[in-house]
Amino acid sequence: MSSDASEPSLAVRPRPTPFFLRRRFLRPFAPVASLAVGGLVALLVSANLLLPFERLVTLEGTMGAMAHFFNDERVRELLLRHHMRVEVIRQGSRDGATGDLGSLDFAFPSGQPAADLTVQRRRAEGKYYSQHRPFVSPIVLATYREYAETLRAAGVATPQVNPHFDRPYHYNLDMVGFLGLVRAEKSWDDLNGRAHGVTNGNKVLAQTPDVCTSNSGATYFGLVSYVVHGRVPTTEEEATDFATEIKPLLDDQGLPLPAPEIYFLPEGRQTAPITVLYEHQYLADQLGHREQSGKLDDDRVLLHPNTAFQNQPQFVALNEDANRLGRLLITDPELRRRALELGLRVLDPGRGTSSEQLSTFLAERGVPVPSPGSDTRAVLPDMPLLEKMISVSCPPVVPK
Amino acid sequence: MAVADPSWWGVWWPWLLVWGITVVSLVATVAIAVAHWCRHRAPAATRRPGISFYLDDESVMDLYRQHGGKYKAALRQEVQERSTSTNEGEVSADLAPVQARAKRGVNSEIFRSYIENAEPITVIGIIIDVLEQAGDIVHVDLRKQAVISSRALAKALDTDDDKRPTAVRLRGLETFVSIRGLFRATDRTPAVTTFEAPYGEPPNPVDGPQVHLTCTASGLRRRVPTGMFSARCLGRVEDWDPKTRSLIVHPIAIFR
Repeated sequence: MSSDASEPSLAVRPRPTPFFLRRRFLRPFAPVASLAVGGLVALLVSANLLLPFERLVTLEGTMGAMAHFFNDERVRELLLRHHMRVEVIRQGSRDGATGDLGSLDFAFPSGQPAADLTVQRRRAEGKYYSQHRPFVSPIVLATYREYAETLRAAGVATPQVNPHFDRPYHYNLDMVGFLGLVRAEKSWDDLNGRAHGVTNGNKVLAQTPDVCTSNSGATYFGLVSYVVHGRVPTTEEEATDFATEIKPLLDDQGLPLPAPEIYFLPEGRQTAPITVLYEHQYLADQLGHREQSGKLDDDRVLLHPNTAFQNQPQFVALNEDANRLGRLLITDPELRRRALELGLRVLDPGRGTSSEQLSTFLAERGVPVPSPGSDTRAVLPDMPLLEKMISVSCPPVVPK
Repeated sequence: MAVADPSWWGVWWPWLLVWGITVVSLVATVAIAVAHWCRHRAPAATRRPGISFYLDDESVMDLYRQHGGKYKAALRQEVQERSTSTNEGEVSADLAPVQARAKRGVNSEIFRSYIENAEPITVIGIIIDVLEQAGDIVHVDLRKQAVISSRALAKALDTDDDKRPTAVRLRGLETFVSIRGLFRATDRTPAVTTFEAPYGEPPNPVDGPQVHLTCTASGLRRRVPTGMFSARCLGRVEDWDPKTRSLIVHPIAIFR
């Protein structure tokens, strides 16, 4: 700087830093912007960017034994993750198939005959339908240990050996022998049940849900016919004859079971010593026991017919939204995992059943694994012939 | 809608929380950026004041006509844009006919009418915008004895931007200057008013070197403040007078 006549010189100052590089701007901006960018990326990657605008699809459907799957809290939560909610109308599978489908989104009968009936109706009406087969569950006879031991002493039940457990939880049942006891109208006392703790003067037989309305009842009916005749009927006349012949084997039970769940109640021991149900219902009960108390339900065991029937529930979607649910049941890993946890044999698309997965899962949880038993597989007659057989005991189907 | 269902909320609340936080932080991000951008869109040294009290219309017309037509198109466009973006209701009665004509195209006559009728600060805004865009305005702060490094300074000194000198003298800068300083009126006649501002850092600012402005009385739009006042002068440096130790600057506009 000069004090004489020469012009003062001025310092050249750098131009001001752009505001977006200044600390005063960056201090509040950077964390907020990072949060915004992080959130945006997370929402984009998880496809939740439009989450608050999602539509919740509520689907209403009829089902029988499969109701417990959709009533399961975990399943309901998993479906909500796909913005879906299922309202269950509990009905016997056959009842559901013959009832009013107009207001429903899907039908989930426990077996193929009822599903075929539903599909046939939709096809005849020219309405939408699509079928999905997410899992299978064999038909079994559930009983109590003392009854199983009585049958074992009678020579019709053989325990499945499992080195990890000191007592059997699964027995192979000689169906011919068992039906022989039923036909001979043997009582539990006749079989010296007292020796095994059974005090029951009732006849030996398997209790089923109503053959006219439920899939498990109808399937057991078909299974008994197959065991007795060694084949399925081929004509309507033969179907009527077969059904008439085996009808007494089921009629002795009197009124059908109101619901198979009675087996899991304390009074089931006297009311229904042997109950026809699906394997997954028993396994889910044992898994629940293990989870809640760390122990198995020692009283309840399964009888696996040596002529087995692999029951295949079918999800019949009656509209596009329900079709999406059907696809989820087959493709969503978490839903499939939960089905496994509920004792269902999950079908692997293109690879048959995932029985190995179920066995591994049960072994991990310390629940006895049922062995495959006999290779003999029962088949049911075609749907019209099965309907003919059932109609011997029930009024004919009149779709509503 | 799924949001109306409590059970859906039970499953989706973590993601809804993420969604809410994201939206709030996005809004906050934009708000912070806009607030800072508004505050800093012009650097402190070039921020426009609100009151102008001197505007030399002829110098503005010279800008329009001379300099090889360098600013003509830009000035026309600025006037046209301001004319078309202003609602009729917001325009003063004096300016309304000018703007109505300007909307159909700007020529020399319309431009003159505009600068004569528009608020001086509007005209100054137009000029500064045009000069800034052309890189023809060097910002000087006499209070800090500093010149702001800029493209305009590098252009005026004919140097590379990254080789700027550490100190400069204003004499000989062939460009427009925007000088901020503490001015005072030193002489008044019916025809002109003279302003001076301390230049450099002498022990007594009044006795030391000065920046000297001579303003025509016709250009004064408001009463001249008494005593020292902070102001900015847009003008051109004419010469350094060693006898009076004054930097003579031709003022185009003065504003506070």
